[in-house]
Amino acid sequence: MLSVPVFWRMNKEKYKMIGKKCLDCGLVIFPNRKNCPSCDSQKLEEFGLSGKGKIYSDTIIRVAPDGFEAPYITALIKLEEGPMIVGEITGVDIEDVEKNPQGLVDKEVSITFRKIMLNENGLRVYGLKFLLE
Amino acid sequence: MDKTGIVGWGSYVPRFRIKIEEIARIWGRDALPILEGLGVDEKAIAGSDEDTITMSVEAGRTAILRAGINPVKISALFIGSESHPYAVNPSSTVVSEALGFSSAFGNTFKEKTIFMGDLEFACKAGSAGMQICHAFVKSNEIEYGMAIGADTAQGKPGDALEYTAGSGAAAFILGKDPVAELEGTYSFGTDTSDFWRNEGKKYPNHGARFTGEPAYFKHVTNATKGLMEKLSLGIDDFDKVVFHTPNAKFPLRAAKILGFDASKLKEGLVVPKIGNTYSGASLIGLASVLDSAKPGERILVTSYGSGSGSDSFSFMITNKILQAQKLGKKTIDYINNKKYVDYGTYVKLRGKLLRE
Repeated sequence: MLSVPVFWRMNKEKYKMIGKKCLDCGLVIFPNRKNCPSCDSQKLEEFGLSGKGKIYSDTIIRVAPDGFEAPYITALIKLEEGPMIVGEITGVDIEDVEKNPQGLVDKEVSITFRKIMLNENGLRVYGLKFLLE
Repeated sequence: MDKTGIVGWGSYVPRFRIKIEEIARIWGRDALPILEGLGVDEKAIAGSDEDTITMSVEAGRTAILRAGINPVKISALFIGSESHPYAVNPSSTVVSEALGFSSAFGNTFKEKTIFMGDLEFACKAGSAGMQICHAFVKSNEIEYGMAIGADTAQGKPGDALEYTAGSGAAAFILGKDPVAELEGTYSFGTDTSDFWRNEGKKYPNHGARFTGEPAYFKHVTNATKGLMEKLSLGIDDFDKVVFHTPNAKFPLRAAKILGFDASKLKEGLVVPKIGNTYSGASLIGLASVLDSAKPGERILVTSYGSGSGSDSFSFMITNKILQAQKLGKKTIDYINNKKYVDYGTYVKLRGKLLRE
């Protein structure tokens, strides 16, 4: 279980999609890094992402880690600006997703602010999830 | 003097609904007299990953979009609710940070003044937040302030409140050059305990019929009369009217007592489809009216909070509203996006079913 300071340090990234843009090669980076993964440049500036993207692949989590409530849907999401991230999909019915062999692949999504988990001491961890457009 | 008032607004209603018939079925009650008595068909329920904080952020985002301003210009945030997720640990700090009041970009924290507070005055804490923000703006202390009314309202299983206690939020940004000029506000309050929840208790208690005449009707009518007298306005001067909605019958009766035609309440009367969203109720009603209001229309809003008090407001719609109405989701969009659940799912979603 992650500690309170760890959650606090991640607040900025969890609440808003603020990443980095490489001033040398133009790559948009999310989540944040100190070096550009493409050209290794350290000349990076903050960059606000749109929070929109498309589902690349998804799966239903049925055995959840502590603090999470199964079942829920986790997906690989290709963001409009390029980065591929892991995110939770909310606002969809698991039984509908199960019926479709393609799952949610290629569905367009956008961010929404939700409760992510409850830690063992009752701390509510908030952050971004994704809703189908 | 510059006009001040609402520069942006937004509402949020979660997608889960439970029908009144389903609640009545579980408790062995005849649904028809309940439906007729309350005038409410179904109520909105927050999902397991939603609460007052998350709904406030979603409503706030729409308000910022409609205001067309950089959120770092917002220097006050007051959230009124009976269901702040924590007893100790503010909702307003999370919402402020998620909406980007400190800094539009996350990692360069910009030191600035943000007046914040979590308010509680039963169902009128959100409207009290609007009064505070308006006073800050009028006194030139801040450029913009945001007031939010939000609740995931709880009713004891089987209690009369359970048929109406719903979930939802509305956010308003107060500032200059508004879409709805705040012409004046008036408050009326007395020590009248008609509804209360003690520290550490999960569900509220209430005085049943006592919540009517000496509580809701006395305060709503007195605050509204006080406002009209203060502004030298009469009932015919208002085009749209919003009163707090513990159910659909109380606001219509308050309108009748005051002499307003029931048709003036129509656009703000969302309670039949989402239930009583407590601190969100009168404010979601106002947001619904603003979604389609026309320049030159005058709107009356009177909230009610048990305990008891009412805040009354007069708004004059300006030409600026037409552009703002084109942006963001409207209240009706949220109302129409729904999934019905049974009583078992409802008690799970609302944390009424505990495993320990």
